[in-house]
Amino acid sequence: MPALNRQSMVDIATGMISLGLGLGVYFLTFGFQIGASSGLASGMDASLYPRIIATILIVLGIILLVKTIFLNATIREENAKAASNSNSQTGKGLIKLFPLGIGFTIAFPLVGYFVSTGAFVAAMLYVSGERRIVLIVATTVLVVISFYLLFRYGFNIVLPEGRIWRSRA
Amino acid sequence: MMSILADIQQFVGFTQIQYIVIGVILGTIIGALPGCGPMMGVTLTIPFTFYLDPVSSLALLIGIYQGGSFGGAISAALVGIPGTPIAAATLLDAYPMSQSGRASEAITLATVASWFGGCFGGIVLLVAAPSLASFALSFGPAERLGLALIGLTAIASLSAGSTVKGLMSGALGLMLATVGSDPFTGTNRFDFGIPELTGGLTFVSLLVGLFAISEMLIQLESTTPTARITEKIRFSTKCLWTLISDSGNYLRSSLIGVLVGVVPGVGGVSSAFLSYKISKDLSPDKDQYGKGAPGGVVATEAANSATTGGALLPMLSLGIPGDPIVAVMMGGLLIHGVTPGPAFMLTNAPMLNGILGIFLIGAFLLLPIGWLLLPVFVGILSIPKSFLTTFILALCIFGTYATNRELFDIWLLWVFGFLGYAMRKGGVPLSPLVIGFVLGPIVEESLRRLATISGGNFWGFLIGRPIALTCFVLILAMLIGPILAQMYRTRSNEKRS
Repeated sequence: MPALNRQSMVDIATGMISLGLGLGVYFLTFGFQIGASSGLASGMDASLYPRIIATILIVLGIILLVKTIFLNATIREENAKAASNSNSQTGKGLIKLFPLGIGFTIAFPLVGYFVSTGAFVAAMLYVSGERRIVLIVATTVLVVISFYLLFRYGFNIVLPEGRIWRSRA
Repeated sequence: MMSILADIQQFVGFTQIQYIVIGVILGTIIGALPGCGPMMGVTLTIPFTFYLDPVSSLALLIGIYQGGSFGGAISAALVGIPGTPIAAATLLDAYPMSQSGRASEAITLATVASWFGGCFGGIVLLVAAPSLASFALSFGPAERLGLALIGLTAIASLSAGSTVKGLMSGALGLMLATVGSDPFTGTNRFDFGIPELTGGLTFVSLLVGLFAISEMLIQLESTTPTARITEKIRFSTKCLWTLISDSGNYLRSSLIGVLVGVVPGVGGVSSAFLSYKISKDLSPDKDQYGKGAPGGVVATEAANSATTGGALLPMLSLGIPGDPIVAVMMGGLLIHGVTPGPAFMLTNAPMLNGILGIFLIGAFLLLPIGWLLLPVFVGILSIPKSFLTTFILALCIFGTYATNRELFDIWLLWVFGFLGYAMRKGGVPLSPLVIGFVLGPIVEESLRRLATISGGNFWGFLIGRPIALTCFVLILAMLIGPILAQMYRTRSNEKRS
């Protein structure tokens, strides 16, 4: 069996995730409290359809694993070349955005729209490569105010004021 | 004909036309931005359509779809980066034209060809949709199941990357659609005791997370610099004459676009390349193609714009989306309680005619909008990427929050953003997942009804339903075809080595 390249490793991981997901879903369906099927629904209960899809995921996972592990080396190289564009990047985007996104989601109900959104927009501009402080501040103010006006008065959505400020008041 | 016009008048007023205009402008802007495109445009707009009536919301989405399909040509011509994959074929001749100082001509030709292709697609849609829907009125659960699975399988097997991964993505979409209350028995499925999940996953969180957040993550990793446009671009009216001098190319390419668009999963990229190849083969100036041939720009843009009309045809008449953007639009309509398909045609024929009229109006408005706002669209390309990324992210977050005013939806947004990113990195296509999610309830309902009607004798039941049987034979062919192709390729490689 020829050595596995990076793309093959990704494919193996994808196959295993599909297999694991399918198995997980399959076993979760045993926990459904099956309601009484009646009328047109009597042919299948609530768990059978998810089980069919889980089986499909399991089969596809196995096919991908078998195909990748025992695949002809030439085709594997071709696949790796074709996929090289999508795999040439690192996880930089995740590192930049996810802590900010999760921080924002936690802060949003606590400190309210203005503080959380202002901090998020300014930080986002900074991690995207903008270093001109005046531009960061101006854009932040513009985005925060314009979004507030759009959502509050355009769509009539009350944005959180922040639990912290409310409890202090 | 008069009744169609009366229906259009009834459903399309000044408000709807305003939304079409806004949609075409926004769509063109988003389409012109490298890495964005009509899918991003439609995705970002979906949350805001909840505040509109169904016809106005579809007017906005159709406008974005049409504008977005054209917008990619602007960046393709000026900076050599197609704003959307659809414009990749346009780049072949539009960019060399720009490099030789004919940028205005290239963009004008793209505008005129997109306008012609869009109008052609609209007319075909107007004529064919009601007839196709009437034909589909006799369809039962077997046919509906067959058609839904054809749509899903076609998109899964024709998506970039391997067929197996495409099918995995589609199956995952079907699986995610089962979260929440079972529509038949009320049993809670995969809700893990979380009350917000009993109503199912929020479509907007899934969509925006998968497409927009994952795209922003990729953009944050990209090192492509912001484009600098120094040449003054203006609409060149003399290009309008190509409508007469190159009319054969316009008509042929638009026809190819519509026909390819009707086939689920094929889409604008294939129609543009196919049309380009045919145009090149038939042209007396074959050698000029790829070096700045105006015919190449016309062929690709007319075809990919006509594809939008073709792609809407199966969605409006059969309830089966032909491509992921149309699937998103269908999801938007479903949220409004409008289920496209033959039954919709029967009960809401005037509204369907109104929607078809909207498409035609949007296609028609592309030319004046492109003409008047060309400098604005070109200027957008110069906005620094950091500002665009931040603005789009803010739009994603608050658009998602606006859907149900629930913080839980923002958490879901990050979860699906991560999933979309992981799928992109793993080479798993995203489109089948969205189509699986939209078609999931239709597939489940049809399958369960079929199980009941057929009394368990599924295949025996299908023998008496030729349309359904044909659908299942086609599905098998689509599944087996790539395997045979792979085997053939392996054998050829072995022989060669």
